[in-house]
Amino acid sequence: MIPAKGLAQCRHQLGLDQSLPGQYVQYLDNSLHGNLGTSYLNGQTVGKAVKQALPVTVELLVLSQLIALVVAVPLGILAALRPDGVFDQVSTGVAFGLLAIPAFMLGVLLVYLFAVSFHVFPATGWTPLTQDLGDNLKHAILPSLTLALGSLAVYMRVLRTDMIATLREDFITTARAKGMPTSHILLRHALRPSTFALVTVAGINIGTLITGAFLVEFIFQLPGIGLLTLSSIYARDYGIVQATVLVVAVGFVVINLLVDLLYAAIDPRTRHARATV
Amino acid sequence: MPEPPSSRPPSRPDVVPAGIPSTSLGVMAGAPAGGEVLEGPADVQLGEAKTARAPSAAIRRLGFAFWISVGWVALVILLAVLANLLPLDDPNGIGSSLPKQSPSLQHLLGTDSLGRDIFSRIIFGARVSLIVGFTSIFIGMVVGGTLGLIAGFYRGPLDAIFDGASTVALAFPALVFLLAIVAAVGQSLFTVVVSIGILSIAPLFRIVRANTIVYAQREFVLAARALGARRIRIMAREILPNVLPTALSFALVAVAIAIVAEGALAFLGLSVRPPTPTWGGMISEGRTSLEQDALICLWPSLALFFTVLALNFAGDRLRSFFEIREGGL
Repeated sequence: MIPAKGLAQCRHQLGLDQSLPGQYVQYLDNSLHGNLGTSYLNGQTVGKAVKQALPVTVELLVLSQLIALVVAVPLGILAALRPDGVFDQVSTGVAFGLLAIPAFMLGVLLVYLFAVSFHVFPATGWTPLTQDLGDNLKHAILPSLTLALGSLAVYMRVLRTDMIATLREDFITTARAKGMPTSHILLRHALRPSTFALVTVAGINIGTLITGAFLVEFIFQLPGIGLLTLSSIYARDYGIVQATVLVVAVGFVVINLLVDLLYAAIDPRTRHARATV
Repeated sequence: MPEPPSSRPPSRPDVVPAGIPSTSLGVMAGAPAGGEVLEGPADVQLGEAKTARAPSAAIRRLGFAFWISVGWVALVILLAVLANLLPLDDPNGIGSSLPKQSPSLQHLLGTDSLGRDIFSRIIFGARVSLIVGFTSIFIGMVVGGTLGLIAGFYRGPLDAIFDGASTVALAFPALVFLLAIVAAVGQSLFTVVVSIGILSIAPLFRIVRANTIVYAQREFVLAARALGARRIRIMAREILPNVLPTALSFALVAVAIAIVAEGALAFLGLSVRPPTPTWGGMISEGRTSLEQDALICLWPSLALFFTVLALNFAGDRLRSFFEIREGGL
């Protein structure tokens, strides 16, 4: 048994003897000053734990989006080139199947294929980027691929739809009449105006992606924000759970803001919307 | 708004060229429709790819694959409901059989690492998935649908507030919300159903609201108003029947998403407490013995995959079935 005196002292240290609104105001005040609190279990500052975990999650998200876009853009263009053609139909079928596989199943499947059956990539573990780039990528490839496959299917379908619409526009006909090669028309004329929906969806997709990152970090035991949150939930370490949820929410809002700003870069019309109306 | 006659979808069964299979499966399998066979080099066809093709009536039918999907979901529901009456092994009978057996007549899908019958666990696990999937979306549908109908019909400041709130709700990563709730309240079937139900309110609200706005401007609503119908009556008798089909087809897809969400929670060990079997939990348990027996992991994965695929597909087909404006305008 913990002596009553020690219990009271501990409560006082953690600020649990104050009223709930009082605790909340204190928490907000601390958070705004960059102090996210300390772990209930080991007294480590939460800020430090989050700082260690964040790069892992960010690398995972960036890599997965790179893979998804690099694969989805060419496939989307190819599918749009001949709507309802053989390639379009096959890619539609594959995309539909991919969308029906939850991230956690996909992760287990990839572990089975590449780590258990063929021993190509390690199933779990992590090497920091700063330590060894090759080893880092080796550990990052399966988790990123798991996340990428889900996004890939969505991006491909969205780009395909927009691309089909763009290819019907007059300026495409003009470009063709001038005798421009198909590849030039597709990449230089049609691609940019076809990417608005893709950017929107990529922005919305971030919520799904963060969800996926939590699962993927759990499956592959990557020391990112997701695993930190989950292990804190299992350990009932509410200080860390609170902080990671806050970090994820803030990060999410910031990324969405960046996506909105990206519109201006892609679509000149949004920059002076008032002039055109 | 009155539609000019030319904008009506030119899709009537009798205009369809002969030789197109009537099932949507046939269309998907690559049956050449209309002038597609004549397609020339890509750069010649580039601009007019399919513009002129009328949406064929084949798309209007639900199709063979739709009924297979419905059949699969119905089978899963039936087995889950009748699970107690079926001659199944105890899903939690630890040690009643040898662990990690291969599929046999006695254990149709073999046994897991604790010697429990996998077939029986999948069927009992379907109960959790189905209860969570359908109940939570029912909650979302009733709350979100009602709010959407009201907001879309009355518009004004209330609508603006609801719309803003739904944007905020949609923005937040769902699993993080679920984890936060489970961490705070504790894990139980009730918590999972209610929190997934809350999460589903915003998207369903959006769909019902958007459709309500469209229908509220139609002539038959104006006519009902001119006849002196009260607002409640207009909403319930004029708008709701038109909005419902689309909303329900979205709800089917939402059920699939809810089932996946529960699966993810169970996979993390944060859904219904063990030993109650859940598909996500079974995948998570099977994961640890991938090297010795990958089948343990495969069966619940397949059950989840086909159920989600079937719900997605059925919802998708229903949506394009009810989407009258598709392609024609």
